[in-house]
Amino acid sequence: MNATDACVFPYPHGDSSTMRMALEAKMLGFDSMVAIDHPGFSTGDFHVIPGIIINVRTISALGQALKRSNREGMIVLVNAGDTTFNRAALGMKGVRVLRNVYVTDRHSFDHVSARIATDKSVAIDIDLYPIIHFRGVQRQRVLERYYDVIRLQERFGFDITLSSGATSILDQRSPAEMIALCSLFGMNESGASHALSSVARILKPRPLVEVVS
Amino acid sequence: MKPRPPTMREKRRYILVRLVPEIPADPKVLYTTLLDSVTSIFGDLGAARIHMAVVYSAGPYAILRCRRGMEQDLMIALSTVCAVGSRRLVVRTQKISGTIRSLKEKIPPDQESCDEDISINGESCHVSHRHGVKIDLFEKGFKNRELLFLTTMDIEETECNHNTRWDTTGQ
Repeated sequence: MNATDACVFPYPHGDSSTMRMALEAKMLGFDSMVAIDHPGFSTGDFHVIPGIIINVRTISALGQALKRSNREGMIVLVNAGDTTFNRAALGMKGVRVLRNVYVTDRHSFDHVSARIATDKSVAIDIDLYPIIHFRGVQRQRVLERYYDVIRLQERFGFDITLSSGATSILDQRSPAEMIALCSLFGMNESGASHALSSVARILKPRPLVEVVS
Repeated sequence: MKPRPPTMREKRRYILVRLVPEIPADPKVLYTTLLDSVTSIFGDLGAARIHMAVVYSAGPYAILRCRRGMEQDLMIALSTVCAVGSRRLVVRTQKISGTIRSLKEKIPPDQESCDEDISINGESCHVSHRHGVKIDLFEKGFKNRELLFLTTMDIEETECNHNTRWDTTGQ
């Protein structure tokens, strides 16, 4: 999987069916996408990966939700919260991606969280939906937050996933457009290309010990 | 007036774009929307540097002009367009070239507009556009004018399962 849209919301969240979004993503140049609350399937060489978003405010609630939803081959995305929540969530087994970092307070994702994300191989999601749909001060705030995440990523090297957050085929963007949009907050082309292939690495993490002979 | 010699003219690039859903847009409305998007993201200075214009429009296709070297910036601005006028749409970049003629050759011949009604689980739906297995439709009725983007497989599946109903409210 070289290019994956890390989060799309097909019907009933949006106005497009999973199959239509898969066809559109394939036409745009993706080879897989993560569909929220939908079962996974493959059409030809295109893969739809099942995903689930956990939106809770407390660690105990997150633990319960993880027990219910953790299945093989499924991407578990957790909406970010305050500093304490983020640090705890990043350290919990089963959490693959922390998303919606732009919604939270500026200090909620700091250097400590970045180090935990690197150690635990949890990716941080960069949702391009607000950059495409927001205007003015709102978009400036989002760009500011993403710029900060990229600075931490360059320093600590945690994984980044890129998602369109699309609820319709009209919200989906091509990998080339996503890479171009990433240049707005200081992410270079190779970094953005690497981020597009992060989901494959999340699904098959490298073993801690590698046998070389 | 003596025209400027070719070596002193500014170099330009032309971008072929396709509007999705494939409904023709007025070039003037399209230009103001795109310019608004460019200004919103790059400011007045960036917009002046990009020097964008809509030079040709045919159905859902349009050819845009920009200063050479500014294609990437224009592409970024195009990807932030979500609506033209009151209509939700997306501008997909198809091709970049140095001449308008080469881009015009890439525009496919006019497709016949689809104007048919189909019934899904007893609900009458109007098909707005059909391309291969892709179907864009909206449920009939004065309240619901939002397009649904489906495939023939989805409709067959829905026909089999009568409990499912395509509804934009998601309820």
